Amino acid sequence: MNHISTSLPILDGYDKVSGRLCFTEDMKLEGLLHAKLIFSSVAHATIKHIDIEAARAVPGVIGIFHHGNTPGNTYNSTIWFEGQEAPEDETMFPGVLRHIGDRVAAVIAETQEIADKAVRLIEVEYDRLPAVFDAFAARDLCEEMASSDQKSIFEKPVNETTFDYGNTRAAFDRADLIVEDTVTTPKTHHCAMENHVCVAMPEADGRILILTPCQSIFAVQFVVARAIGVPASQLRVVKTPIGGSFGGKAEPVLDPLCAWFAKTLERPVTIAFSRAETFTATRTRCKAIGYIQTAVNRDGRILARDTDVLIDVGAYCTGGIFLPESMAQRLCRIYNIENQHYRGRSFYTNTLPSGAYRGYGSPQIHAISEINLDHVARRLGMDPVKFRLKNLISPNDVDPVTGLGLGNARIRDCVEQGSVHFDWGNRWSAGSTEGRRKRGVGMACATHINGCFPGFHEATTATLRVREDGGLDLTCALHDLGCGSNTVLAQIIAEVLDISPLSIVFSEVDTEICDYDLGTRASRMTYIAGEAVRRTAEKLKLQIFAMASLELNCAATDLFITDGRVFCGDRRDSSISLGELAAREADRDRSLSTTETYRASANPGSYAAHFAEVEVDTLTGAVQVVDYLAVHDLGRAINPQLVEGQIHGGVQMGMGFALFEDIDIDVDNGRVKGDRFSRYHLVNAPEMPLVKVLLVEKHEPTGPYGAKAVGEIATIPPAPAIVNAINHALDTNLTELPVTPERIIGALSPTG
Amino acid sequence: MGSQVSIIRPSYLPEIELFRPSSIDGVFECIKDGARVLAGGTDLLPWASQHGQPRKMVWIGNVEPLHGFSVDDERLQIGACVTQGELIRCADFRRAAPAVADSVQFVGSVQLRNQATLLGNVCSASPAGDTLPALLVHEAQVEITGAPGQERQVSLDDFLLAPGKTMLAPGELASGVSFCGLRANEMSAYRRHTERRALDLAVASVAARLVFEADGYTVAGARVALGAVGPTALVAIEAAKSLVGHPLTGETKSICAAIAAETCKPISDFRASADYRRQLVKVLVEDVIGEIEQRARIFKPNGEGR
Repeated sequence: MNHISTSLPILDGYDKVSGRLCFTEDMKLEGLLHAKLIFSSVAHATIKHIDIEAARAVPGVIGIFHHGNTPGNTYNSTIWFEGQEAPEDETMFPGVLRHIGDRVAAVIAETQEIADKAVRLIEVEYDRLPAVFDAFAARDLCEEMASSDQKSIFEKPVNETTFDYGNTRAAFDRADLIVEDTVTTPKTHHCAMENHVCVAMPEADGRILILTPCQSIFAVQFVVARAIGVPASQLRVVKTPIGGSFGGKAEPVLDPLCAWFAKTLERPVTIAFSRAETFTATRTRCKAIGYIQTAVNRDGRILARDTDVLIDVGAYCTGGIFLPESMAQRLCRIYNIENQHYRGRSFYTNTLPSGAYRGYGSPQIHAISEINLDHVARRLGMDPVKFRLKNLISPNDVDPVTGLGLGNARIRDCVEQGSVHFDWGNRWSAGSTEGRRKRGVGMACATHINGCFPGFHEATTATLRVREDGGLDLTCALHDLGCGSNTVLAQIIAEVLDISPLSIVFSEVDTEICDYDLGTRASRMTYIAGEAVRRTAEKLKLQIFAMASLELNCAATDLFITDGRVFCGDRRDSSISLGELAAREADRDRSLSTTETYRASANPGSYAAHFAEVEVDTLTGAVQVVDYLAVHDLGRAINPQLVEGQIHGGVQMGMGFALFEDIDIDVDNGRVKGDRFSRYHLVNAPEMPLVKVLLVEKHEPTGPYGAKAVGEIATIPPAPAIVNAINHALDTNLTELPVTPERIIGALSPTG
Repeated sequence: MGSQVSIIRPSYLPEIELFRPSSIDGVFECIKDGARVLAGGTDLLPWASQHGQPRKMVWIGNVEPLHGFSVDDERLQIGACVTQGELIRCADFRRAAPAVADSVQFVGSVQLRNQATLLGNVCSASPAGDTLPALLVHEAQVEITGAPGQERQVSLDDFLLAPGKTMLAPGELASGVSFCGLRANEMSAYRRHTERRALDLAVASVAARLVFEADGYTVAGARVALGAVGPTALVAIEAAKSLVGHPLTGETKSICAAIAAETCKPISDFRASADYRRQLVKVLVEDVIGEIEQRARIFKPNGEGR
């Protein structure tokens, strides 16, 4: 058995680099119509009048849609199954527009050029309403509204979550030191290579087929059904190859519109967003403002912590309902803190709606807590690594809020091994250098989840069938988002049955042929789907052995599989291939196949400690990350190269979160400043340090071959690690992300 | 224009008429007909995505004389079609105009520089255009051709009017740019600040060219120019003047930097505040002069140094 811990090249890698993979925008469809949307240019307004006559007169225009001629059904695009509760506040084309970029109308035409031209002829008159652009203002307005009889979207927080265990007040009273910080994280954008795109078309039986690069076909089906008011059975959803998502395509944004256009016009329709449209009319990572206080005693033991987070979810609720709770969860799974109070509140603002984004609240809450912990260590005069080691959890500790075990949690190993590898002690105590360019080191710890358990139906159903050629067909709604999850799952199956991973054919991800699945979210692919396919393969193996024992006249316990053939003990001459077995089953009108549903019963933590060295130009504020080490507790790396790739990408994204990336809403008018790549800076190759990766591979008993997740956690610790390094270099306490050169100069100037 | 016309129309693009004449006369016929001039196209592409695709374009890359590129001791002459990449790879150019060579190396990315022309950067007249301050300290003149045979030279300072606006009138073609090469006892340099190390626009930039006395360190003449801190690249006359007659010391450098920071006209925008831009000008002026000092020493193996 040698398929685990090997770096099998990503399965569709060749097709991608050679341009053979057909993405949604590449599809050539007979009679395809093209849509162009018109977006609100004001932050909050009622549509007074909309004039579409001139646009309608343009030859080639087939349809124009707006709030006056489309269903006003409300929905929440974050919901992925019937019964999940979240405020339904979105409509396809709202009459009251809530942010710049909200959908006003759409023109559908024979060509994209005609649609683009016609859309400019639509005139909209607005009745402006007062607008709110930041969470503080939204909070104040909520308090005002509570005592008035006016009704508005701002009348109450979208959601509020609190937890309180131990006795935080009493612990604060007896603390030697209390360190407080307000940490702010920006709204950021996913910047997947592929923009948002969707195709929908009527099928012969009157149903609508939706072709969409998505993270969950069943979520698309549910949300579209709700939005356009048809039963889910009238919709068939197929996932197309996806050019990156990072959570941006977790919520169906275009799909309801596209399906409605196709249904109404009875023609195939596509909506393909431009980069600017993807920036301003899809989803973002929510902005968070955390006020955090940590109480410690003199020798560095954390006695208590109190965290109050304001979350700016933007104009629509979407996943804002879950964010306060997601953030809370991460605060309880990494340090042993006996007394903790937390309050998280999410507020509406007239800005871009937030949604899922790699880490789902984790990057924000860890920035808040890890920057504060470094501040505590600084005030104590203690090495931040030693300080953290005094407080970190140990394997098999328990989450104090849920009472669930954290599994084989190896964060202490990450910190200990990482600090040795990085030569942390010497580099940290050397302090910052003299002169114009100052160097400093920083580190941060992080945790993330493995799946949705115990929150939602955390289960995956897979069907494996042996083909007559000896390969396998896997039917399962597996949404590979480009990170290579299918490659990893193929390796797991191949390991169980000792066949070539390349002989496994993955089914279409199609609502018509796959069992219900949550889709790719919550770092659940390797840990949940991986265990599901492992168990399915194990069950299939028993079935294979039962059959082969009859064919080979050998006890099932003596059988083993090598290279696609079943052998009996030492009798090398007696064997049968999996393909032959399948053929004989077919002769008996049976199929050599099995279906298995795996339901999760645990949610262990994945852990990481990242170490960074920065050099800061104290005259210009320019930051260069000069050295980087990422240490990850992931149980086992099924595919080490894919793991490294995930971590490198995670660091690139986290660095952007720390230093550059900010959608930056103009507080005067709600306009998006960072709506293009010349204004929204991603970290490029010249800025990237050499990222060293160290893996702590300690078996997690509930994971497939001991494996845990790495995809999301990789992007969580970089921002606090880099900010802590900057604060170490400059002896500052910068807490507002992104830490731009100008903010650094502000902090260094005598008045700053 | 007949024989030079070809029409390119991929189905997914709007209708574009692209003319490719091989003579200046042919170019002017097209310009008169309303065609937009296309050389490297790297600024035209983003412009078109915001303002709409021009329906007629004239590509001047077939006109051989516009590829002319000469470097002699006195003056460099660069034709409209010479790419930034070509210039960077030319050692004579780098020796003759170090500030311009510095600035060209900052523009965009390798791929962009291999496509973009030097004159294109000038004609785009972006306040943050990298080559503009460098060309200003090298006393650049833009060659404007009004019609075949009708040429005039305009100093770059006069040529630049406002963001995106130049003296170029409809029907005219900027056919080249010429500027001073370094003479004995001269040195120049360009520095800028960006958030990212590459593929980014200057938040502030500074170029300087200094003439030294025979002693090798007293400043006999100076030119300083600033980018991204005004509606156009600016010549900082007062700042430059403050250096003349003095040796380069920490004090003279910081006086020059302070005057430059005071006299520039930055705005606050999404990229930076005016105050931060002034701070950057101060730092960059000192950096640029420091760089010139260092280069002057290297270029003068027998010089006294300091």
